Amino acid sequence: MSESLDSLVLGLPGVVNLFSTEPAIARSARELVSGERALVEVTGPADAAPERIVASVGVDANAQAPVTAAGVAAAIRATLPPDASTEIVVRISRLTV
Amino acid sequence: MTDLSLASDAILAERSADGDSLAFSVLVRRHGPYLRAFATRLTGSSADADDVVQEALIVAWAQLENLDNPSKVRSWLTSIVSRKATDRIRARKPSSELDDSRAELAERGPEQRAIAASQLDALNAVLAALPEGQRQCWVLKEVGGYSYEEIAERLDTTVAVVRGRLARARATVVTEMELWR
Amino acid sequence: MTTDTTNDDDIGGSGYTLEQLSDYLDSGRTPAIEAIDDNAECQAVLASLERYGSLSRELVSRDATDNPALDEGWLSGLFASITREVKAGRDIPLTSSDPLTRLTITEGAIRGLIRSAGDSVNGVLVGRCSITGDDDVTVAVSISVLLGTPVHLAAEAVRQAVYTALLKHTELTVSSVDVTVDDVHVIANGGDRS
Repeated sequence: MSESLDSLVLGLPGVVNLFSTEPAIARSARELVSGERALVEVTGPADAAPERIVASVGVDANAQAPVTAAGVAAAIRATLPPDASTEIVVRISRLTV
Repeated sequence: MTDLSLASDAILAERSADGDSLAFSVLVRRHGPYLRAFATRLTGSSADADDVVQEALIVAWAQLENLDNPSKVRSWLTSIVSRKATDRIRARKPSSELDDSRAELAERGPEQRAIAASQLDALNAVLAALPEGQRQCWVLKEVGGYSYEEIAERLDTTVAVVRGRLARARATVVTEMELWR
Repeated sequence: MTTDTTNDDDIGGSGYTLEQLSDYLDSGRTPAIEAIDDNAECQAVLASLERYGSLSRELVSRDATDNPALDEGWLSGLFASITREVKAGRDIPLTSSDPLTRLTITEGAIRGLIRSAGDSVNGVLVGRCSITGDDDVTVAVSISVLLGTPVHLAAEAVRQAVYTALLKHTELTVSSVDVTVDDVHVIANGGDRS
């Protein structure tokens, strides 16, 4: 699921980069174990709606960052069932001029 | 935007401390060659020097905000390189130190010294032929400017050993350079 | 351990060995030792040692000038290892209408924004920037200006650019933007290497 979230987020207007949400060392260890190479972090059971989804993004400075962030969150929310209580965190980590 | 390669070390260090990786890359290109040259002289190996300088720069990126005087970036970077280089030296298989020379270089030494066109080339040959431990102490003292205590700590030995190695290195250098004249 | 078995341990009849001269040199020749200071051969040896020290420093500089190119593969390896998260700083909140959604912008992103804003002013290069406070913040920016640039105008332009950028991309209330000119740079043939 995470890998498709990666491409979803990267395809959104104003999104320039997608960054890892975890320190490099933790990420390498996790990838080694799970084989999963996604940047958007999804926490929670595989068979139900996730507890939390975190995306760390780099955005274009042409659009207002808060607007772009809200757009990313909305797009991710749209992939979940309407009654899901998943927490979504969108973190702007860089603004590209 | 003004070309970053025109910026002073201080500005580049400050931007890097704040997360500007482009500014950091300018610092790397500016000081990299010197750091590699220093690391090669110290470790005696250009392959080791490549690794050492890369490790040092990765550490430097994370610790730039701790640099009190941003204009002193080169000497700060050099001190990190020294530490990484001596870490690597300590991790090598211990060799019986004494005055065992690297026979090959010691044999070629006088010949290279004799044909050296300049005093700099002659000194180059003499230093290259020094036993490892003596050369390390020489480079740390004369090029790095560290004290006996600092050198002893980095090489995991005593001040007495450092003093002895430096004295022997100096005796060799003085004698050999006199022969060159 | 081998010992020096040369007959001339004593330099120039001073009563001092090379190892002792070596110590004396490194102690900055203090406290002064008359027997060494008054001895011609000792002085010659000390002068030689100092010269070889400075030649050694020159050797390393020469090595660097002779090898100015850094291997591009080595450089890419280095930059791949430079990680962003060490510079992220704290999360600054952005408003979200959905209670289950949290939107933030990192301090690192804001610093980058301030830098770009300042850099966009002609003749200005931003150095350090800091943001202090939580909702109500003070921004401090230090800049380098191109020699000849009117300093007050440049500082004011930076202040305006920073205010505008923060207004656009954050929800922070900026109580002040303090700009200090710390440095000067020049456009020269070789570039400023100070």
